[in-house]
Amino acid sequence: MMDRNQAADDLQEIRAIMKRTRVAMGRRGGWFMVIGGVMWLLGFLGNHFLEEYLRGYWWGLLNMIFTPLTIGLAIRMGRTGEVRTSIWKPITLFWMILMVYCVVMILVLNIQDEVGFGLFILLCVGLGYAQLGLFGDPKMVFVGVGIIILAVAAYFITPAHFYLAMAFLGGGLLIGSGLWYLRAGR
Amino acid sequence: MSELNELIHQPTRLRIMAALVSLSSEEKADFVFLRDLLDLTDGNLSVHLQRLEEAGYLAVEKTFEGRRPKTWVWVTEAGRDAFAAHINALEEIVHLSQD
Repeated sequence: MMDRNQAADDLQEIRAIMKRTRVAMGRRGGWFMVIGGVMWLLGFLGNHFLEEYLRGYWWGLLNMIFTPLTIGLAIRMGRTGEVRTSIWKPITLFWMILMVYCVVMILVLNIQDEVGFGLFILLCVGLGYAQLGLFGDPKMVFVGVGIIILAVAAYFITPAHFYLAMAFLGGGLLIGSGLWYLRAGR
Repeated sequence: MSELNELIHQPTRLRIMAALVSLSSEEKADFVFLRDLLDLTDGNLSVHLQRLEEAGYLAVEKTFEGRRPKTWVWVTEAGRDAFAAHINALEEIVHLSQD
């Protein structure tokens, strides 16, 4: 007959292994955050330094490079990574729905202010990360809330340097969080 | 009262099952991922996977990724049920001893 301490030790070991497994799996999500962070950094640097008429093209170019890269990486990871999963499908769908929602809201609210336009997109992205965290890894909630706080703070405190702040703080937050995820899962 | 599952009770197999039940029913773990996660040798992991597969708790699929062989492992419904029953038994021991 097993005694209480042995049983408690086994239960503790089971919990520890389950947690370690989830963290190791979540490590892969770090790549998406790094990619998103690099795109964010380059995109907002472009917003700050480029002429206004070039900014749309710049983001278009970045989207043309990074969107297929992200989708390709997601499909490849789902098929051939450490864990074969189809989780990328609902996550991709979630982001697409959120982006459609964001575009619709921008049209409905008729946001003309370019910085306000940027802020609204950032709030949607922050909300997306926070929601994903609620249904997945709770640490992602902090990333989402961090993005929202940084965006709102930059908008009200230093609107003239909003894009620069978002490039380094927002992009930096995503890249840093992504690298942390990659490291934590090892 | 639930009974401990002697096959799962073995420490290495307990860890293997704990790792695999963490995945959803549609997910499969790579052999190398599992080996590194649990800090086991190839031989040790293979032996325990075989025991669990023979019991019907796990399923194993061998494929090729390019020219490299790849082994996917996942827990079956029977495995999930057996593991859940084993956890119930452990919890009962802990709680009964407290009363």
